[in-house]
Amino acid sequence: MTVTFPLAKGQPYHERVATETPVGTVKEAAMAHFGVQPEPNTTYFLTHDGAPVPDTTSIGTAAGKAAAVKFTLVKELIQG
Amino acid sequence: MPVDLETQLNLLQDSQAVAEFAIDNDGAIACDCSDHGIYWLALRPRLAPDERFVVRVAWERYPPAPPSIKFATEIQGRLDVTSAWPLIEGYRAGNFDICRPFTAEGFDTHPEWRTNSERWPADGGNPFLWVAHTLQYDLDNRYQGRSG
Repeated sequence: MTVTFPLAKGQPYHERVATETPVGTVKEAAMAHFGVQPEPNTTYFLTHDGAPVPDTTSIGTAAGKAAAVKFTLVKELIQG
Repeated sequence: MPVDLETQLNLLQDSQAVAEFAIDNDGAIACDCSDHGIYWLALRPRLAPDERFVVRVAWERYPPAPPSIKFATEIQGRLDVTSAWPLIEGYRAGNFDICRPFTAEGFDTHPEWRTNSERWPADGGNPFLWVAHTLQYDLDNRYQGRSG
C-alpha cells in the first residue's frame, strides 16, 4: 500500500497492512509520515482512482482484487 | 515579463511530475516557450470523459506565490469565454477566476487566507503537482457540467 502527498518533501508512504485495516488508520499513519498536523477548518482524506475513500472502508475493499493499492492524501480546501 | 531563472529551474523540475500525473489521468500538458512560467493543462472529468477542459496555469514566482489559473478555449486560446469553464463550486466563470486557496485570484479576494490554514504551501513538496491534483479532484468529484 502506498500513499502519496504532493505537498510532502519526502518519499511516499509505503507499508504492508492487513486487508481489514481501515483506510482511516492508514490515513493517520500517512499524515504522521508526511509530518502533517491537523489544522482548524481543514480536513484530510485519501483518494483512490480520483475518488475519496471513507475512513471506515477497509484496505481490502479499496484495493479490490489488486494486491497493491495507491492512495493520494488530499487536503480539503475551504470554499471562498 | 519572463519569470526569473530560479522560478524557471524550479518549474522545470516540478513540472515533470505534473506531466506524469496529467498523462495518467488521460490529460496533457504544454509549456509556453515564450514565457517559461505559463503552462497549459488539458484535463478531463472522470465521469464525463468526452469533455475536455484546458487550464492556463501562470506562475510569476515559483514556489513562493500561487499561480493565476484560468480556463481557456484551447491551448494558447482565449481566456474570456465562459463556456470554457466547468461548473464547480468556487469556479466563477462569470468572473473568469477560481475563488479557492490555490490561485492568485483566490488569495487576492481573500487576503486572510495568506495567514491562516489556507495559506499557500510555498515550503512543501511540489505545489505545482498539488495544484494539478486539486484541479483534477474538483473535475472528478465536484463537476456539475460545462458553463453556458
